[in-house]
Order: sequence, then structure tokens, then C-alpha cells
Amino acid sequence: MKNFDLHNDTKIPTGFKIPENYFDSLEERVMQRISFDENKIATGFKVPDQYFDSLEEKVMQKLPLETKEVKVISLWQRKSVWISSIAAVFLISLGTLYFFNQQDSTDLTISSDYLAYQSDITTEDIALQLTDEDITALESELTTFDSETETYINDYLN
Amino acid sequence: MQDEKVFITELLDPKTQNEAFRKLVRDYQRPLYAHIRNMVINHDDTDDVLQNTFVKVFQNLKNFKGESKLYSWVYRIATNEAITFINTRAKKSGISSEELKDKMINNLQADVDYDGDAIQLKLQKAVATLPEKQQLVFKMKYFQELKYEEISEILETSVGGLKASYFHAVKKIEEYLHSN
Repeated sequence: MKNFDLHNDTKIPTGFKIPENYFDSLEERVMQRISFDENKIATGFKVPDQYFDSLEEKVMQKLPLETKEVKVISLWQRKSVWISSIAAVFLISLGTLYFFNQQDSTDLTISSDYLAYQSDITTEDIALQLTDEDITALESELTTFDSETETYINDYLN
Repeated sequence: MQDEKVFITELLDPKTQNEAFRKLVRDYQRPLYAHIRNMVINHDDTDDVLQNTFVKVFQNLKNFKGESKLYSWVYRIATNEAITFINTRAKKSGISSEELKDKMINNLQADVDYDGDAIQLKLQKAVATLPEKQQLVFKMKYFQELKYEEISEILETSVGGLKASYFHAVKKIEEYLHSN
């Protein structure tokens, strides 16, 4: 084997291979690593001065804490309770009165309908139930007929 | 874990509730603010959602079973509150939640509570192009620097799924940053 003369012989390459286009993207990859790993980019958001000094109090004011002192006012000291009670009694009375009145008129209608359409009850049965005062009242109503009407009724009935 | 159990007992006991809840607010206000702000963008909206989150946490303490850690339960409530807020706002405006988020990002430059430079604004715009879940995962991992295990507990997703989600998100954002 021949002795090598490193200075005068043809230079021997390393034999290392480099992937294709390796250097094309190296700069970009290095820059990416610098920007993301070392020179970190901050958000740029600013927080107003002393914001955190007052936040705790603001939050505590919003909480329904059980330890919070609650002023106790007696139910009977409240004017609104009295006013509400009076209004409630008034409304209930008014309602009750209206309810019973409505019931009475319904009863009357049913009674008159019953008498008019119930075939088992004769005019005589009704007449027996009438007092002298009722008959006088009915007669006084009848006197309001004028003579013409009376003539018409007599003609028509005969 | 034992400490957390003691803390939860204090939160439920009317005698110690007030002081324990104050501690919860103090401990969680900053990380929850960052989490919500990343989602709803604007400070005033973040303030509303954050306060509502604490109220919800308080109202639901009695239902907290202790099956998950307190922080993941609290974060989950905050996440749901922020998503509900965005959806409700979008519905009121008659647009989709994606359109609303785009709108919020476009309004950033005029926002007095935003002082991001060009690259920060570009990153926000890039994130807004991602699907909803990828956005959430990217923000929690990149901006809030939560661990995959923590995000996994909050979002109830596998660590593997989260890693894949974050990987895709980073790829898309890099592409956006280099092409725009």
C-alpha cells in the first residue's frame, strides 16, 4: 500500500452525505427555533394599574356569603305588610260577594226555567203557591194594559 | 393533596369560608386573568368573565367532588365562562364566534390596553387563524406556560392529543409568520 501524503496527494472526501435541499430550509428552521424557543413573543396585553388591588373586594361584594351580616326587620314593622293585608281582605270580600250574587241569579234562572218547562206542574199549582200580596202585585202590573191591547187580547182569545 | 383537602373544607365551612375564599381569589386572580384575557382579548370583557368565574366557583363549591384538582376545576369553569361569553356575544351580533374573534384581533391596535409591537400583533393574528381547540392549547402552552399534564387535566384531553395539537398549531403559526 502506498504511503499517503496528505499535503500533496488529492484530497480524500469525508464520505458524509447531506440530505437534498438541506441548506435551503436551514435558515428558516433556525429562525423558527429562535423565535419560538428563545426569543419568546409575549402577548402584548396590558393590565390597568392597580387592577388586582381592588379585584378581591369586587368579587367578595358579588358573593352570597352566609357570613355576611343581614339586617333583620320584624315582619310587623313593615308598612307594606299591613297595606298588603288590608288589600287582600278587601279583594277577598269583594270576590266572595260577587261569587254569591252570581250564584243567586243562576238559581233564579234555573227555577224559572224549571217552572216554565216542567210539564208536571200546572198553572193551578203555581197559583196555589202565590199569596194574596203576590196576586195584588200581579194585578197592578196588569192594569198597565191599555184598552186597545185589552180589546186585541179579547178578540184574539175569543 | 392533604393541604388542598383542608383548604376545601375551609371553603365549605361558613365560619372559615370568607377568609378561605379571599385566599382563593388572591391565588388565582393573575393566572386566571391571563387565561381569560388570552381568550376574550379585551380587558373589560376579561374583568366581567373573571368576576363571573369566581362567583360560579363559589356557588358550585358544594358540588366540587374532589375528583380533579381544585386548580383544574377552577380553570375549567373559567374556560367555559370565556367560551360562553364569546358565543353569546357572537350570537347577539349575528356573526360566528370565529368572525367575532377576528374582529377582536383587528381591534387590538386601537385598544388602550394593548401595547404589543408588530411581531406580537402578527402572532395574535396567526393564532386567530387556528381551529378553536388548537388556539386554546397553543395559548395555554405557549403564553401561559402550563405543563401538558396540567392542560390535560383542565381540558380533559390526553397528553398525546395535546402534544399533537400543539405541534400542528406551531407549524401553522410558523408558516403564517414566515409568509405574511
